[in-house]
Amino acid sequence: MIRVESVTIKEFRGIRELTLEFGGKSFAICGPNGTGKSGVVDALEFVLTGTVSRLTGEGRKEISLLQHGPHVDKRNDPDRACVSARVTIPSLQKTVTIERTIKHPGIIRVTPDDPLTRLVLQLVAGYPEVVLSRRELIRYVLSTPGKRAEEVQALLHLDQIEQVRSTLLKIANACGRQLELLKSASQSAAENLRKALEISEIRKEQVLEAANARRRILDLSELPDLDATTSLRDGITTSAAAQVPRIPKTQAAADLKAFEELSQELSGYAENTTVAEVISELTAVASDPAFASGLIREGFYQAGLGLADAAACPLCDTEWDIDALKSLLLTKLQHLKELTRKRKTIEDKLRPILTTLRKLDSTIVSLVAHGGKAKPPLEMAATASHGKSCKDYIARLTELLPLTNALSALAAAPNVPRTVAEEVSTLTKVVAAIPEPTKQDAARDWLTVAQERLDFWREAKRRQKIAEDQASLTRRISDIYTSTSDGVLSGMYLAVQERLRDLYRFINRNDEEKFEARLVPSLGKLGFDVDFYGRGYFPPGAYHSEGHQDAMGLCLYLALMRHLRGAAFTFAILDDVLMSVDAGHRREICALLKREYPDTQFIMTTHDPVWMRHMKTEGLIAGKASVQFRNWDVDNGPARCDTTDVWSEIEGYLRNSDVRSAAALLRNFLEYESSEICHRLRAPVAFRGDAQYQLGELLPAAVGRLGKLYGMAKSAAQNWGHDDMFKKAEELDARFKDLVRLSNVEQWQINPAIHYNEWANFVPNDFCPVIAAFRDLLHGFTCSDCAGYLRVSPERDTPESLRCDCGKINFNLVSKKSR
Amino acid sequence: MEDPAQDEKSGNAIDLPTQVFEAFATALEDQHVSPDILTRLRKALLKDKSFSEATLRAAILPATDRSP
Repeated sequence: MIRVESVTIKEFRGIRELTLEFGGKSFAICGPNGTGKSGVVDALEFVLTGTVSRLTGEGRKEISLLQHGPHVDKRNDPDRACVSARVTIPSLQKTVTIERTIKHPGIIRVTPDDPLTRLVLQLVAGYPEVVLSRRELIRYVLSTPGKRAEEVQALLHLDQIEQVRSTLLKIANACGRQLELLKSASQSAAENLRKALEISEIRKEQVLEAANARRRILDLSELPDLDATTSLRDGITTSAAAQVPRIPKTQAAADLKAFEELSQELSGYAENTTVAEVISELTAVASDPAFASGLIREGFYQAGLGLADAAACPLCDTEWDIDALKSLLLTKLQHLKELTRKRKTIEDKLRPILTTLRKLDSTIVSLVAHGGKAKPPLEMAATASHGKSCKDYIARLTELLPLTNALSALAAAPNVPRTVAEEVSTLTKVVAAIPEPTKQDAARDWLTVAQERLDFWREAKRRQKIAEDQASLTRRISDIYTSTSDGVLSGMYLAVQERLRDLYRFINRNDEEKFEARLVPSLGKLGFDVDFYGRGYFPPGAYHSEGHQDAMGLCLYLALMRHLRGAAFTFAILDDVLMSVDAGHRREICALLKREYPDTQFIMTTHDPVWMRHMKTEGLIAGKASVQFRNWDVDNGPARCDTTDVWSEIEGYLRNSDVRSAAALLRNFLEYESSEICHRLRAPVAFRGDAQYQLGELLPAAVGRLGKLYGMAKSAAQNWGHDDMFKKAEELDARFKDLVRLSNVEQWQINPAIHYNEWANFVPNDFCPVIAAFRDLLHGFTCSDCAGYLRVSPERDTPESLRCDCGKINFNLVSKKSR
Repeated sequence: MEDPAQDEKSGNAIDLPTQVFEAFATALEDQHVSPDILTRLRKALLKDKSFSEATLRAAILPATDRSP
């Protein structure tokens, strides 16, 4: 998609001003901790995406880009904190400069600007995962399946897929809950209708038979059929008198009778042995505090099982492993097995009482309505209150907890308060006083009430049917989505898993050439198991070392990115991601990146100079494609081990007569450069296990080695009869010997007085020639054209040539005889 | 010049959400889900890129059918 040619960072994070030239190629940034490497990573991420992931996410609530993005001394001036980069867009064959400031991170300035360029840059900004840090690696490899799924979803932009899945599921669940409510309402309407029709069961034949019996009394034609629009009252003329509410005597009498019978039924329970048993059992368990708490837990676990239908807690949105959670809840419920048995026994015994109470409640509603139609209306407040009490008893006996409440409900339910009995008695008298309806009036009343309740029941059924259709449709659509997305993602994960396996096998081909990995997606989770030497599949953190885990994380990232971005995966920042990987495997990773991702520009940071050298020797980065930060301070930001910078800095110290600092810097710099030269020339240095080589061990070795190499070059040239090469080698050798002589390096072993340890005691004027001599000496190791240090080729085995990167210097080191 | 967005994606880059939503729409069609619902879901997911509950609910249960 893009390649970064260079970046210029100003007043951003820990950097005051810094320009790095990448040339669109892979590049390494090396330096000890706290020298500004991450500042460069943040700057690149910022200029490309407008965000800095390090300043966002978990535990970063107190930190913001606006406040903490600028250099600490410019924190009140976010407009000064800016990053610009020159980027090449291969698809447009264009190179543009882009710039963002912390003050307006969402605004990107593009030069030259055009809509197509902006569109590409917009696509780039949509992929903030160009940065891979060890933090992300650990998340990919070691996090829980739910968390890993979240990370990988973010990487693959699957959040939209997950959002749709959870929303469709939510809609389906809501429709399911709505259906349950409407089913209950429908059942209640059916019971009222059945009671009004005075039939045992709501079946078409029974309804028609009962209705036609009344219709015959009224000389109305019989209803041949009962469909959704049939009116039981069809043909009854509605007079004005009939519209005045009045108590339907027959129905009211039936309701009063039902009230009487139900009340007696409840009273009868008081003597019922089953009820005595349930009271005894409730009393027994009420004295056991463990039962009540167990019942609460059981209800909680049961509710949890019902609600555990998504990837996160519906209360606090905490991620959970749904299968593990269900299994845990079932185990806990199993532990409450005896309690569950007792509860079910009690509930079974309470069921008939609850049924009676529900019928009584429904009857009381009718009685209160009848009382209201009396002339004048009857006082039915106590009866209405009794109805409420019935509802309360139902709730208490259904809930069971607190057990004392259930017991008191059981004790109170059979009693009909005196005031209720009085009101019902008055209503009974009023109903009795209503002139006995003629058969015709009774039939008319019956058909009117029956039709009202039939209409109500039909409406309840209609709503239930709609809810059923909606619940079925939404569940079906949700299921289709889940299976479709699982299918697509499984295919994707399978491809990624195979690529991950191949990448990891390449890195570890010496000991894990049969490595296998499994990515297992399921309902908002992504399991990740890896084979451990054929002993089975385990989580990556179970048996593999940290180094192996880091490599797995990198391979997973690379596999995902390749799958997601394809050939558009042209840029990635690997921020110190391989700190736990050993040298051997790092070499393999270099080879892997070079072989598998030749068109991807990697910007890599590391604190380990050896790792950076591996990148160079393996050809992942070119000789000059790196920068070494040696230290950092708040006023100046990172200091580079860069010749221009170092020599100016040394001169600066001298101008201030600070020889000590100048000497220290010169020594550190020469140490770093000598190490690089020894490596390139394959100079023999006495081995140190801690790799803490000093200047006195490195520079003389480098000097001696180059002198010897020139000798070999001259000898080979003579041997082959290449006079021109002999002459050229002799010239360079002579010039180099002069430089060595001026630096006195060869005397270091002999005369401690001129050893670099004494530099700090010099006065500025005496130290100036020393600086000049070593500056020239370092030049002596370079090609005058490409300015790169000379190197021996190949890097291992018998040296064959001494050459530079541009090819201007290329001496054969092998004579005829040797060849 | 071609659309660079297409150009960028031409290098085997994959837009997984679009891939999933397309497969979903095809599956709905195969399962004979109402063409009206299919049209509305296609519009919400693939054209408008709108994934809110209100949008999806309206796509599946239009206002006239929504309240039982």
